[in-house]
Formats: sequence, C-alpha cells, structure tokens
Amino acid sequence: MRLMCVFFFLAALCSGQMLDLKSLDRFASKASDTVDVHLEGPMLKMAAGFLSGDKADEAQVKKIVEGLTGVYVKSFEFAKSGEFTDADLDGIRSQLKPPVWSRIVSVKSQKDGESSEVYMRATGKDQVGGLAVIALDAKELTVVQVLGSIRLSDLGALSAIPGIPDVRMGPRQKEENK
Amino acid sequence: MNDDLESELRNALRRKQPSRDLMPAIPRPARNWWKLAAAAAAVAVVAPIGGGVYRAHEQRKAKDQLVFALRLTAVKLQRTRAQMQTIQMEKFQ
Repeated sequence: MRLMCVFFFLAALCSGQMLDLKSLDRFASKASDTVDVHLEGPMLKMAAGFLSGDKADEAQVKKIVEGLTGVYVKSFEFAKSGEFTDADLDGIRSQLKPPVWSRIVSVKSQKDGESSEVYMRATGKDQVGGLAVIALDAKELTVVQVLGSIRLSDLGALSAIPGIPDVRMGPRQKEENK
Repeated sequence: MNDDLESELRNALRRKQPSRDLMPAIPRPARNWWKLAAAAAAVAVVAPIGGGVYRAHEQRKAKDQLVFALRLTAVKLQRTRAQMQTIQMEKFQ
C-alpha cells in the first residue's frame, strides 16, 4: 500500500501535475503567518460537498470546484523584509517548464518590489488544465497551484465576493484566537 | 505418632475462610454485568456521534481552506492584472 502511494506520488510529479513545494517549508519558522492548503482527491470532494448552493460565495466556489482535481497553496507572511530572495523560488520555477506548463504573465515592479508570475497548463484546444501563480512582495511569498479544468472568468468573479475565511496559521492567528 | 500426624493432616485440610486480601482478586461477573453492559451501550451511542462531529469539523475546515485558496488565487490574479495595467499606463505617460 505504501509502495503504491509512493508510486502514484512519483507518477504525479513526473507527469508535471503536482508541484513539489517542499522547498518552501523552511520559511515556515521565519514567517509570522503561514497558509498551507493541500486539497485533492477525496478531501477536495468532501470540501466541495460541504459547500452550500444557496450562499453566493459558496455557490461560486462550488461551480469552480466541479472540474478541479487539486488545490495547493503555500503562503508566508513575514514581519520584516529580506527573509527570502527571488532565487529561493527557482526550484518551483524549474518545475513549471514547457511543454506541460507555459508562463503567460511575468510582472515585476521595481518601485513596489512586487512580482507576479502566472503559468498555465494546457490540456487541449481552448482548455486550461491547471494554473500556477507565484506572487512575491517584500514581506510575502505565495505559491498557488490549481489543477483541473478551470475557467479564469469564474475565478475572477470569486475575488469580488466578500467573506473570505481566515485559515492562516502562525503567531498572529494564535493571538487572535485567544 | 500416628495420632499427631492425623491431627496435623486434619488441621492442614480443614476448610478455612479466605483471607480479606484475597477477596478482590476473585472475579464476580454475576454482580457487575449490568455496569459492563451500560458502558458498552454508552460507547456504542457516543462513538458514532463523536465520529460524526469530528467528520463535520474536518469537512468545514476543508471547505474553508478551499474557499480561501480559490479566493487567494483570484486576488493574486487580479493584482497581477492591476500591475500590468499600471505598467502600461506608466509607459503611455
């Protein structure tokens, strides 16, 4: 059973699907806030099953989730700048290579110190099989990967809906919970 | 001699009451069966409820994570678009 799990994990990695984000785990100890979301398979189905079709935000998410196979997020917020460099993300970038992944946007702002990279995974004609975002600023590092068929217009509509649940982990969250 | 031996044997084989220390070591199933049955019934009732509560908690947690992850993705995409627009506007000016 364990061997089968390892096999499927390696197969997923080799096929260019799931990104290996373990290289980012070292930032968790330095970060003031950490978000680590890893949802796939039965867990993703379970989460989707709990979404209400009556609430506007959840109905929107439910619509998007129908075609998804995996959602992975690692996000770190630091108290001070300089805790990471752009080169720390090279290991992630090396996995987002053609022909599986294509970088569609890369924006760098010298003034704000912000940068964003958006990658797409094309599975067929006019079909997006996945999306990856690397977003950095002086005090924040975020890597998102969404696998499965996805429409960007649906995702864009999602950001306009208020009521984002807070799933941060870290000292600030612990203090807020007290 | 024979009388002494017989008397010693009688003494040794005489029925005696067990000491108080020995009493707790002897199981008495007939007296406590209902307590065991009540405990088993309580476990049978509470365990599925506890499992259900835990499963609901895990589902809610997974749902919150999913909503958060997709909203975060949307926000990052929106910020990327805004950055691109800012850069384009700066080029025109």
